[in-house]
Amino acid sequence: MVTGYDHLAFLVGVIFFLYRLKDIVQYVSLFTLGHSITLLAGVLGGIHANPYAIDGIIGFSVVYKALDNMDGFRRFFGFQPNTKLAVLVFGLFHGFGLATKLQELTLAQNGLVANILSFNVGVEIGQVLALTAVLIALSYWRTQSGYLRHAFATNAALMSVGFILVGYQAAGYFFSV
Amino acid sequence: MESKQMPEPPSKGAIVKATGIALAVALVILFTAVLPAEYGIDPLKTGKALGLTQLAQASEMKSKPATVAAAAPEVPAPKVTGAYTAQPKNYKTDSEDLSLRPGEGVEIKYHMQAGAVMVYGWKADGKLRFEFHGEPDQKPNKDYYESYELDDKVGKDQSYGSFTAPKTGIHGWFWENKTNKEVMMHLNTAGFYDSAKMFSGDEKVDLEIGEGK
Repeated sequence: MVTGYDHLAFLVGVIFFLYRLKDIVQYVSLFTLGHSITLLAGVLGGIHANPYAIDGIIGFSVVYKALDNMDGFRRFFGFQPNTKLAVLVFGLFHGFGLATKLQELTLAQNGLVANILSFNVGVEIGQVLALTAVLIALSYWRTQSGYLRHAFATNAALMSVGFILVGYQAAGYFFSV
Repeated sequence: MESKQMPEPPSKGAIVKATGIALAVALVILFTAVLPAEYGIDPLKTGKALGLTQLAQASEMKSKPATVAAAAPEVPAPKVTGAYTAQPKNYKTDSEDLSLRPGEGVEIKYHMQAGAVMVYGWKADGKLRFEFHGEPDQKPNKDYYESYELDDKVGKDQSYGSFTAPKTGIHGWFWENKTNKEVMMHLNTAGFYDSAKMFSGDEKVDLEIGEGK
């Protein structure tokens, strides 16, 4: 099964308006730092968060970032939330999600701890690969004249993906207990 | 933000409208496609029309082929001839009662030769997430195992079937209680295994197994 597309949706939102590689590296590192902390803490501490609740929050983070990209916060609340802090905080939640997934993947208990690090490395590699592809596509798109015109609609679509993720997880939460 | 470069900032109205449309589109996709495909919940019958509920059923089906076959009695079962395997020794039986506290996991595995068969049935008074899996005696690394059936999302309160060991090694289940109350479980097996082990936390116990009568 392909998982992690929710994380990617969030990261696409994060890098959407980042042009300089330096910024991208900074934001993605913050995200990685956030989810590495909670991934390790979650698995080592045996913290079993409800996966549906966590994945629901991840879906919400996609909605949040899309709204942020649409300039919704400045428009409605008159201020811009600290974007770096938001990425770090949502990174922490994404880490809990990964921790819960990892614990479920390796239901057989042997070698849990040994697998965490390689899992985390695997996640980072996959993320970097996918982000590189996204960046190439975005960079090409940015050279087109329609980019800024479509940016708003694209973020609305991204927001829709976020809502779908929230609904999907909410349904799981209510129907599976 | 330093790098945000919308040509002109979108108006409040445009943002509200876009959010509304995003939400509406999400709800439509959720109810017509995502819920039918993921959970078999199909309020508008679109999942059936698009064949999506089959996806949800497929993941159910993988885990209980026996019930599926029983549900379609009009199809005659294939006539299998000469399909038996003689064994030098009588089969063994095992019966275990377990109680699992919330968050607790336990594992029971039987040592079987490749090709040996076991029938099993377990029943619990609550949903247990589980993985039916095996560890070959000859394995590439310490943590290697092969998964036969995994239900780590919703869990089940019963499962019955027969099993043929693909490789010589220990084969069995890991159950985990993810509910918030204690779950009692009963497992019965009979088959050509020679020993049984229970793993609970860091403890490893040899289980006493009975002779087939």
